[in-house]
Amino acid sequence: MNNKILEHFLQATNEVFQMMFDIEFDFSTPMEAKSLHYDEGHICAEIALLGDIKGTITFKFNADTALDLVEIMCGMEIDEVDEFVKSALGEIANIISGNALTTLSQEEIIGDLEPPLIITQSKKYEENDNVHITVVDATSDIGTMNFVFVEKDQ
Amino acid sequence: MQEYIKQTKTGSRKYKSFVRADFLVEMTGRVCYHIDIIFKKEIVMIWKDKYRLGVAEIDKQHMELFRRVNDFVVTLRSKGSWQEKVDKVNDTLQFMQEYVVIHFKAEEAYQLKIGYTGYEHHKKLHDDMVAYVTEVAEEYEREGYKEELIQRFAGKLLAWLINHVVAEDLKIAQYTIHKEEQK
Repeated sequence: MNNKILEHFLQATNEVFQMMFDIEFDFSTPMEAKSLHYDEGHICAEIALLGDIKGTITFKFNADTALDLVEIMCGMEIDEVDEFVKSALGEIANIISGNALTTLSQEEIIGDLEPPLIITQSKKYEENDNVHITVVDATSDIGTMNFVFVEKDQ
Repeated sequence: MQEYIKQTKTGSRKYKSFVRADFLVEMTGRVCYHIDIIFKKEIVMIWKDKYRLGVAEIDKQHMELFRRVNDFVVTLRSKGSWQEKVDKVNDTLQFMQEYVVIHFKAEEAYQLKIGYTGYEHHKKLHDDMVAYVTEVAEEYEREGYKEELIQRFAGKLLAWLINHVVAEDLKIAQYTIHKEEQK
């Protein structure tokens, strides 16, 4: 995924987080990765991208950050990552990705997305000839998250 | 005062300060006392002042909608076994489900009244959500009132609703204010 497309997702993330949570992220420079391991203790909302962009974008939250976000939304203490929490995070990932695709369509890059898949267990990606992995770290007052772009060749 | 949550010096998630419009709630030994106050006064915990759009008619509707959703989420997230709370969850789900439709219709009527140019787009967002709510409610009943499905539904609804208000409904408020300024 080239950096221009990536920029749309990062911009959409900050817009949505500012509006919903008053939170702004600082993003690292995109880094290419040879392999990727989702370790336990994180919640990953993975969205498959179709159309002109093929691959997946994953929003990787550490568990405490995820719980804090859901607490802000519902105003009550949340102690564990359950279906309610996973679904709320999946919807946030869905909203961000939808907004990014809307702005990309204005540049005639047309895409679609599939419903979010929530991964809480260990998962590993390996780079190969057809798959390229890019990672962006995001930091904010509430904690950290990572973006993982797994791009498949057209 | 705008509501927010901040970490205390301990950095622990268990010890937080919740600063609300009228309350300073420290999650320490006094937690039970303060939480009791919040529930007795029926404070809508998911509502925040930042969701206020500055158009009285819309804000009033939103506060009522958030109150309904809040009742549903509080009941759903209350302590106790699923068997103990399922009847109450079902009642609040039904109230909330009915009010979502009433609210959307009222908001659409308001948009038509002011000649809102984004009406068609906004109505489609509402229609899609109503279709989703109906689909889940049917599945929930068909599958015998399973907790997992309704927890997933509540999480999505909460995030969708907050985003819808701060992103989409904000546009209606901006349109209204712009029209008022032009008069």
